[in-house]
Amino acid sequence: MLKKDLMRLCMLHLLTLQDRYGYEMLTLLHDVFPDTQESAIYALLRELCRETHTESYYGEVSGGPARKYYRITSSGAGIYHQLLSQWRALKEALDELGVE
Amino acid sequence: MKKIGYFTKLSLAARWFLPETEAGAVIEDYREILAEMGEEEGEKKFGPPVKAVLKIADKRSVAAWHLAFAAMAVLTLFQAHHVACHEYYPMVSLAFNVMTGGILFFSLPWGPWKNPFSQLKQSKPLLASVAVLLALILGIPLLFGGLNWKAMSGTLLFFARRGFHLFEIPRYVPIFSAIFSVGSIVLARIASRRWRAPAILGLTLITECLIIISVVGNMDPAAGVREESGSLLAVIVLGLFGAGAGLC
Repeated sequence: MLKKDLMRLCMLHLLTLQDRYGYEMLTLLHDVFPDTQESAIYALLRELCRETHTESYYGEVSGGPARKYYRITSSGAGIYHQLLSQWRALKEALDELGVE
Repeated sequence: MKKIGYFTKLSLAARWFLPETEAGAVIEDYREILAEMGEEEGEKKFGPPVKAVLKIADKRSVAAWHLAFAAMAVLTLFQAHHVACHEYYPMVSLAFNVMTGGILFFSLPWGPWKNPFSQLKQSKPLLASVAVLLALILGIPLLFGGLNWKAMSGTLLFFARRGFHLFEIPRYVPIFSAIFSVGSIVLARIASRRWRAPAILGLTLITECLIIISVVGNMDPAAGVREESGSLLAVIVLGLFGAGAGLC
């Protein structure tokens, strides 16, 4: 499982919990992957959107301009479960080897 | 001079490298992100605008667009080079311009416009360009071909005595028109796809001027007018039709 897949998994996971706006996603993911540039994180976010695993809409913000939010789609949910099972298999394999 | 901000540069890069619909979404994202983190901080984190946009762009579509643009620029500027070297080939020009127009239509998206008339009203430089080009496209043939040649020679002599050679108009206009057309193609990508219309009118003007040069250079200009008036009319109609479609 590549780092890119891990980041996609994290992005989709965050979106399964709640819809989020772009800057929020960048900040959350940059905290988890500090050595990855924001532009690379944003590139992955756009890729998910281009592949229709996520979609965007404008949400109301009190006292400010409308904010663009991302939400997960049904195909995104499918990819999320696929990545999640890959991650679990990898984690089990590492546990068996005693890697902590 | 006002310094162009990071967001503006990034928007231009997005419009140039990304397809129209994706560019709009990306610009909206960056507007929001940069509003939160600030342009200076954004520049530090995302790097140079072109690099930031290329990271999210689909490499194949970027390559396809640049190939299309290179083909259009070469086909157009090659004609300007010919004219500058005093080589006039109206039919080659027509073939090149039809190819350029075709590439231009297929490399940029089509409607639908959300509010077509208000968007058109906002674009004064675009409307001014279309008006000037239309005036030239309709005015130059009237000046050269539509008039009786004998009456025309008197007019030409009148201007020539004052140091202004009317014959030079169709010799210089295609060079400027070619450069203008390439500029319009760039604007069609980064500003509004409606800039296709002035680009097509510019291409029409090139072919039209070359036909007029071939008429003026004819041993019997009156016969030349008779021979070429049909093709001149066809070029104008084709150009106007293309420009109309380009505005849609």
